[in-house]
Amino acid sequence: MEETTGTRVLMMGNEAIARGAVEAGISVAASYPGTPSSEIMGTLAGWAKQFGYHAEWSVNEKVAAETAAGAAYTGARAIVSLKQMGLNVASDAVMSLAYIGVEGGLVLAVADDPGPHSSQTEQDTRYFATFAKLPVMEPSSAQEAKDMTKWAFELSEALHLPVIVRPTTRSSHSHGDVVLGEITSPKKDFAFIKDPKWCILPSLSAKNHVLLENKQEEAKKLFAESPFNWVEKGETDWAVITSGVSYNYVKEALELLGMNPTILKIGSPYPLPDELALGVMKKAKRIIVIEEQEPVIEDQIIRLAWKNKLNLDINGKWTGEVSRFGEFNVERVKSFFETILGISPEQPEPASKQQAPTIPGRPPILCAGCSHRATFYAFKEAGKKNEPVYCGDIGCYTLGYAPPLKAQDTCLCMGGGITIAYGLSLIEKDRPHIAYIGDSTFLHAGMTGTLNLVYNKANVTVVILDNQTTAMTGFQPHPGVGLSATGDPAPQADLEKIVRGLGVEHVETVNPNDIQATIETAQRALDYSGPSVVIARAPCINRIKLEKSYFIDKDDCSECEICIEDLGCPSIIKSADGVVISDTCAGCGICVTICPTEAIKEVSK
Amino acid sequence: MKYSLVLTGVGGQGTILASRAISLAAMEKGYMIRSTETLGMAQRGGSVISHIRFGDEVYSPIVPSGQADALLGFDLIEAVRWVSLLKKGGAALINKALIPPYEVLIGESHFNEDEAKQFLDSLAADNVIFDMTSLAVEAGNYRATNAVLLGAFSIKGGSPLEPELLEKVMLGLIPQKLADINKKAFELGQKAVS
Repeated sequence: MEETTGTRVLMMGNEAIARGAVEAGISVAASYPGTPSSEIMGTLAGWAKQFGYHAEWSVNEKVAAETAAGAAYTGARAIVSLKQMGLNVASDAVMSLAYIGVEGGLVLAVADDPGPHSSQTEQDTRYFATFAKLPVMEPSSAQEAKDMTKWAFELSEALHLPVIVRPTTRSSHSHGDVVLGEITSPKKDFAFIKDPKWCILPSLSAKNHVLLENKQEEAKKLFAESPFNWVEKGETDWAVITSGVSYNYVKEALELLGMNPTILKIGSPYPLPDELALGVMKKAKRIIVIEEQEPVIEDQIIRLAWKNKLNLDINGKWTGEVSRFGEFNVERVKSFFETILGISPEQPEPASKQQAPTIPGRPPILCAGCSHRATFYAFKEAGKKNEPVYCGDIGCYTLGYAPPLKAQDTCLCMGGGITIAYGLSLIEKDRPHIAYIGDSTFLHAGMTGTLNLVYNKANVTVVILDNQTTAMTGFQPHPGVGLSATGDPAPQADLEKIVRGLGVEHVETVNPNDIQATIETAQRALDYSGPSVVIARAPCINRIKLEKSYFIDKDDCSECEICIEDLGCPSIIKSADGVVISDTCAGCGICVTICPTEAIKEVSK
Repeated sequence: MKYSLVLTGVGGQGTILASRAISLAAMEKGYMIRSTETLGMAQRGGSVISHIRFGDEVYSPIVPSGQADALLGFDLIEAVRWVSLLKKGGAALINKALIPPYEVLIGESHFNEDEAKQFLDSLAADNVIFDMTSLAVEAGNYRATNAVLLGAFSIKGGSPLEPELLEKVMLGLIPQKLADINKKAFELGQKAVS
């Protein structure tokens, strides 16, 4: 990485957060991948050797948070990066950590996903921060993401509290020009000092709860002095309070509207720097609060107005003009202003004069050559007679929900497939219940559920879709891969031994691309009475090159289209010349096995 | 000066590399930049879009509706999907080739190619629709479609980024062994719109 202070570079928001952490001199970085946060650790892992800190993909977010907290107990600086759902997993540790505190700076970079683009919920981490009573900061640009992260470590040390930096998809996955700051080398001489303050006992918690409340006031003061909250003086009798990426939309929407109100740009949505907000509120007849997701700032503004007996209008989510849902953009923010101010919308003239023709949707699908397709097909074949329930999980394989595979009847949360399947099996005793879970997800949250199957004598088949990587989030290694985050060899967890160690007796490993063997393996697992595990192991097709491809021989093809209807492979397409295999064929060959007329043949090189 | 463009396509087509090349070229010219792209789940063969904005002062990374100076379409369907972002008089550089979405393949939805082409031809924009994929294949690999598109953009995009600069930045982003193919693809893209 570029080390020169003052250099201007193009950076993704997540890279900028990583850079901020390195400039702050972190000793430890821990994470579990999750969109849109994954690139923070991806970047930190790449720089770890150059700057001499420890970087790891942890088994899950709770482990990551506790690991980083342990390091921060010594006085060292540490960062945890995760997505909002990951914070749910880590919440047991984080809630208590707010009471115990830290010695060295501990920053939780938690990426939210309004939309949502790649998440199960649209939850707002700023609400979690208010719940946990942890200060939270929200960047509006890549530059701010870097500067804020660096500053957050100082705040964390000043308050002895973890601090949350909360980007959203649109700040995590946006690029901007960033001026680099100076890098601090991590110190080496930290040590844990024994003290009863590190043991959370009820008597200590009662005392610390009061201290934690006092720290909220301290945080407000420090935030008011920070460079991340500012006032841009305007000319109207109304003012806008905004934060994070919404600030950008506000700026451009006002430009389009030709308006120049006072803007209070908030970089620390909780706890809100009261005095700064009051300064703006006292001079305005109307305050418009524009923030994505929940009314976190708005709630605090309303309380401030009430407490100070201010007579002013406050427009936002509680008055209904500003949406709680989805991601904002310039048009949406402009329309919020238009509704509140009662002005008629004006649109720039678009290039399209007529209505665009309706076009088909294009949701993501399993890649050509993905081995999950083969596994889903095989289990469907094996389970044909009994109509099994397929409980899915979080990963690429969730995409198997779509037709024609329809291989996910449920999907809830990390590791939830195994336990949902078990719950279903307690009620539907005569029906097969199959839980699909990826290798990374199994190690993250599937082992406890599997142990529960054994302990409670469940009759569920767990299928571990072992593609040897964390594919959906960008191919991060995990304990089953044999590589560390920084690319060094690591002990490789043996899934079969783990599952046997948990007490599962019927365990088989199969290569899913061998369709016939997989159907037979699936059959044996489904016939087995008791918990059974099938490990379907083949490397992710994005990580290998099979160096072959297939074509459909016109002379043998009966146009039955079974290959299209049963597999849903994006490389098998209908064209004017009938069914053909396109250039994108990855060479897995599973279509060869299922073609009834043997029309699919290998392209000879 | 403020310049906005969108690149639309299907996950895996190389939109991210093309958008990175344009952003880095704008960076070299000293502009303030905001860009954003689809990452994560949708990259698995889904509809993807990259927004790039640069100039003296830009804020939103997402291009507001009707404000794109250029729409670069890797796929005919995906170009139509995002056409509302293009401004009147902007440049529409669109690949005639398309990847049929799965729901079309299985007959759950349908797409009328001629209707789409007529619609794109009717745009109040400087539009060029040509088969970029075939030109990429001619250059040596269908994966060089993004280089064809960048070449066309360098001539027809109406941006302040010089063709030489775009070509140089693009070549800096790809492995040395693919340089010749991409150089040729870039030139074929330029020729197609000249």
